[in-house]
Amino acid sequence: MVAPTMACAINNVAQLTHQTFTRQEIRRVSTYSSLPDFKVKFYSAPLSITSERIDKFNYEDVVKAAAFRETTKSEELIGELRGWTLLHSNWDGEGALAPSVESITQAVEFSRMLNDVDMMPEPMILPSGNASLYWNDGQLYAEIEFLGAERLAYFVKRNGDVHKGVIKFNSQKVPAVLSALIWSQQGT
Amino acid sequence: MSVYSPGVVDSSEKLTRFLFSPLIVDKKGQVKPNAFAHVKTNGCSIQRESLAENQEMHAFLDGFLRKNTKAVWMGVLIADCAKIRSIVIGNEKKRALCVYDTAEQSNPAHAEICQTEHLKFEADELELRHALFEAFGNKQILPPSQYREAELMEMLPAELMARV
Repeated sequence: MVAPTMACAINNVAQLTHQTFTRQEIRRVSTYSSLPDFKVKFYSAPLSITSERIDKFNYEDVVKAAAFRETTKSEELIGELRGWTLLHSNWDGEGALAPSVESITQAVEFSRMLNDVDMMPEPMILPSGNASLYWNDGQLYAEIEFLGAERLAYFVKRNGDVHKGVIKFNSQKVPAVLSALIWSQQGT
Repeated sequence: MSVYSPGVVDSSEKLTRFLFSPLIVDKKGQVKPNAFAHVKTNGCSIQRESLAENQEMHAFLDGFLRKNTKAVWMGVLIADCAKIRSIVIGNEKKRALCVYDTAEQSNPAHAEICQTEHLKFEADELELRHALFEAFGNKQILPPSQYREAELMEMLPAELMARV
């Protein structure tokens, strides 16, 4: 029996590398579970692997890489988002739909671009199945919902000013409107 | 109106949202806006605080936890019905939410909050979650130990207490 968190990690690695894993391989990974913060680190480690290394992927590389560096806030966020792909419909007991893989993928791609920001969002899964990110620090309240089909919706309220809309999703660059509304005024 | 209904929900009533999923609570133990996102789909389930006796609330709580084996009672949020009904969205300032009596035989105090047809744009739904988030107390969850002086929590059998 593989623990749920381990199963999430292995599932993520499987998706990333397009591989399936044998029971023996899974047991081999499990032997590293005594490492400090193993689960968190292993969970996020594949995200740091370059495309070249993915081709030569093996568990030891991942675990060693994970053991020698800290997990970033962005990776923790991504780990939580990816874990939701394992949820089924009615995950809240109130009839929620199963998470949308397309929406979660968008949220993950967006979160990858947040490595250098001080104020990280909280991830949310909605009953519609869509993923979203939100911030709330008293002065700023913001939410970005990933709608799929290369679109996202946003609502930002800062010091009483409200901005909202739907824009095209760009996995390479945080949309300028969001950068300006959410991050540019930090510390002001 | 339901045949089990004690009457239309009055704007003077308090409305209680029970929180059962860890996925609607952040790492600091504060509620996330997704706790209210059901207003768009099948309605955001609530209890009419002033109508429901402890016995009825207990039956609801006990039933939910037994039916949903992964559910955890995280606490409740309470809001004024008038405040919910006064929420408006968009430039036209149209009313965004309705509060309906949806009484059930075993839970006559059951009601639901649903969004109105005036929400026309996807971004309005995010604004609405924010408005509900504020109306229900802006993050602060009332834990089971403080809700109804812990009477409801203490009525739970031992096997369900582990999920509080």
